[in-house]
Amino acid sequence: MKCSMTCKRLLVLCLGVCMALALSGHALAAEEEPFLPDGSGSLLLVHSRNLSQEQTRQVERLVMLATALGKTVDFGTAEQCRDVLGEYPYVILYDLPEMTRGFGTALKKSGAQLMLIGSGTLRRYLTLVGQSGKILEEEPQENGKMTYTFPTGGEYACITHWKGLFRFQAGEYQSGSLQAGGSSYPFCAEVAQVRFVPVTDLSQTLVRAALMQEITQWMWPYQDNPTDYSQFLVLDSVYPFMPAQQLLDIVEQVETYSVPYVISVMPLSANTDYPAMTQFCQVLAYAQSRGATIVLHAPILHKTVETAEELYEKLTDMTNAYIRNGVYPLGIQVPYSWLNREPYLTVLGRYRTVLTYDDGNPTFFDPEAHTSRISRQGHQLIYPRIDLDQNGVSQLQCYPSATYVDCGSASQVFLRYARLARTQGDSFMDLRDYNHQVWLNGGHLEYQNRTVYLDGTPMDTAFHPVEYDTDYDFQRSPLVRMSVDLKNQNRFLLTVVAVMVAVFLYAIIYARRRMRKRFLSGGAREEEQANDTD
Amino acid sequence: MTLIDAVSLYAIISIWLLMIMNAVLSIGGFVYYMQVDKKGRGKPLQEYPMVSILVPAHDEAVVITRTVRALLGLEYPKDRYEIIVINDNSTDDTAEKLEQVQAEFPDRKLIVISTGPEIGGKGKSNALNIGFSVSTGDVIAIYDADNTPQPDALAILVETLMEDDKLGAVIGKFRTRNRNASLLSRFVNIETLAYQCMNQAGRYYFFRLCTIPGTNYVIRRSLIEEIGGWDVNALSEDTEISFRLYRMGYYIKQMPLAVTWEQEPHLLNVWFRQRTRWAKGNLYVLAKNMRYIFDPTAGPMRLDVVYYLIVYILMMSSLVISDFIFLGGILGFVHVTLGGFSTMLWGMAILVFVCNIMLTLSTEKNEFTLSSALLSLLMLFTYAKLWVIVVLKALWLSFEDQVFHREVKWDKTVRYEETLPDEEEALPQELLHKKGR
Repeated sequence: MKCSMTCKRLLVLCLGVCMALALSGHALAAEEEPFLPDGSGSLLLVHSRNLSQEQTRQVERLVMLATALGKTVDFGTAEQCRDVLGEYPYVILYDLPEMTRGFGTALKKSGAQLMLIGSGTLRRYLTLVGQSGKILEEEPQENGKMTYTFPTGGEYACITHWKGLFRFQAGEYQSGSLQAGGSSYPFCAEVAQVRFVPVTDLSQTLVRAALMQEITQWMWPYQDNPTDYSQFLVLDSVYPFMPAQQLLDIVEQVETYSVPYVISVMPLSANTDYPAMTQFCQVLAYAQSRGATIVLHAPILHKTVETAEELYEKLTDMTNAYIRNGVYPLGIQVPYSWLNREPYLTVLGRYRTVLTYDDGNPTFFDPEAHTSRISRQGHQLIYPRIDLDQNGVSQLQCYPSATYVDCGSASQVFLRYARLARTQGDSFMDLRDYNHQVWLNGGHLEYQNRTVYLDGTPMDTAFHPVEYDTDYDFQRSPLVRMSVDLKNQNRFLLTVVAVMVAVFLYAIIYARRRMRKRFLSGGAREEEQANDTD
Repeated sequence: MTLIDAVSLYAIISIWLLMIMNAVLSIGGFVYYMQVDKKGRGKPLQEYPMVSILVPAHDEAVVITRTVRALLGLEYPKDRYEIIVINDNSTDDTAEKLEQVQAEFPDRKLIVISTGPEIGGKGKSNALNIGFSVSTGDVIAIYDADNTPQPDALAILVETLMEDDKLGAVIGKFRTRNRNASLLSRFVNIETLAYQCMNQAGRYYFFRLCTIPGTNYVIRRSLIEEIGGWDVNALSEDTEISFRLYRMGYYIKQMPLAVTWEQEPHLLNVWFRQRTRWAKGNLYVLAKNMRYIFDPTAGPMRLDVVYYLIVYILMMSSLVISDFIFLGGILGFVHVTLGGFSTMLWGMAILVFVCNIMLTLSTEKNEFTLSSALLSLLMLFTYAKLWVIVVLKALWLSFEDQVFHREVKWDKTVRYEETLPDEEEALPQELLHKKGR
């Protein structure tokens, strides 16, 4: 009996341990399981295996431009995507010259609308669907002039590169042109009921812009032209403590053109109670009351932020510093790197309106992520304008774009854009026509029907001048005072250094002349002595 | 303001102060050089005093013959100077080499004192004290065993010394004989000209302050007797004796027309050991004389103490801090939020450094070249960094010596045989004739 009881207990114990192990194993497996394209997006991008660094960069560009177009984009290799092809209404095959027969069969069965990028992809696809006869001849030249006309009427050209170019039996649709070997080929065309773009190198701005236009057109389900999206003029990197008068001058001049604009203010985490901050915020509040939308520029982080909580706290403090002064940042401007990794993606979940920009740093794009997470978070995403010319207004109206002008270095450029927008009739849109939401730690900022609500309470955004403390105690230590003095002494130091260098140069010239004179006179003396000896 | 900001600010201010100080000293030195150049050497003396030239030599066989020959060829009344070589516990054939020269010049007063391990081999100060004990000159001249003074060097030094009774010593200029031996020796050459000779000249011009460099100098016998010889505990006996002279109310003058050429280290390990010894010696002197900073009776030497304090404490600490912040910043450990200094200013600071060096080189024959300018730029990022390591090591060794009560050890600079002298003009003409050139 005792033995039997012991055996039962042991058995129960063993079962318990096994269940615990199985559950934990399952949990671990669930945690480690990466996201794979599952059909939940609106666009699938299929690329080749073993991407080179350059190919990864191209895939990233494609994903980014699809995201900018507002598409929820998933991506993966042919093997990873084969079983879900039918789940996506639109599929782009990028540079896939070696797709398998099985994948080709799956493509045919899927019924998805296809866009093929790269001539190798087209050749293989036509072979797999038994229509290789549509290729008539091959163009050996791999460089040429690309010309593209946007729906707004603007025509642009650039020299670009491709791998292989065919003359084929095109369908009805053709757009843009590639000039090579004395012939003209379409930049985008319909072939065997799929869209085809031969250029795989997306490093040229015109190629990217044209491709965005083509994707938009291709994915537009109606017969008419796709919707035009807004463009916003953004006065970028406006630093607190910049001379308030300088900012006020810009604000007042822009007002004369009646052009709506956005001010992206740099965040501040310290010294927010200084009179200069109050003064700066007064100008911002004035601009806000006269048509400017304020957004918060992402803080420049010098060390890696470990947790979302850490960043929440920082951003809350930085936003509150403005709110306390009657300025309401209604969105955030972030670098591309924030769009591809944690904890930034989680933190962005607190903002409805997100403006993005390229700060030149690595973007942390990971092909193994298989989805553009930012495109799934439901933001009002605004990507930078693709620069095709210098007038500030983009020819590309298929996505919401921002024209950034750095406040510090180019306020004149900003004013020129505003003036051009006014005189040429190309209008920038007002970000205040959209609703915005910002969640803070313990607070909620909402903009709806042109009213700012803070925790549900409507806020007065009319401008009310305030008195600021002219006798503010900065509580500066001698060290800090010295630091401030040093900052102010740049010009003085430059002058000192310039004078010093000038003195050095004068002395050097003097010494060398003296040396040369001595050498010459010494030489003459030696000659004289030699003559005497003779 | 964070702690890192505070130390960065300290480093920035220190580096700029040092840079401005060096620039001002160089300009003063330049003016002094030009004045001396215009005035020329002093008036010939009615009667030249008896001079004893002391040459401490420990295992110097590869260079001693050349040195003694150069000393024998000095343009100074032959009967008014004696050469005393202290063959200090050498284990190589220094003695044999000296015997050969003695045999070659039997009519000249060339005294060789060979010491054994009991009394010799205890450093330069000890060797100088031994040499001094047998000397007869009213004026004592010191040359290192690797020197080849120009023929007129001694006469110029003595003539200058005799100009003023308050002059305790006169120092000459030293140049690098083997400057093209390696990249390191080219750096040393530039450093010697710009930061030893020119700085000395600047300090003399502004404050009548000089530090004896250890070679190519003359000093009054009476002063050596009064101070009781060289301090055997000092590794930088030259700096130490300079401070003592100033405290006694004398001053030291630099005479750039009196030139000696010396062999400088061309290998990194040799250079490192030599400079560590110098730095350690200077730190000893600094510690010993620190108390005089606030003593008004100590005279102008207080400025020299401050100068050494600035060089060894301010410069060293600011360079260590700036390097630490630079590396920490790259690795992402350190972040400075201090702003305000433009990049252009840093560029101009480098320009000042290069101009400073080029100013010095412009006063020398065959030194003012493009390669020198490029070298000085390279020097800023390489040689200057080595100096920090040298001082840190010297600090550590000094600390160890204090803790473990170690006896001061003289780390001899290893010489090498030069295949062909870089500077033929350094050799006395008569000796060149003897060699058949």
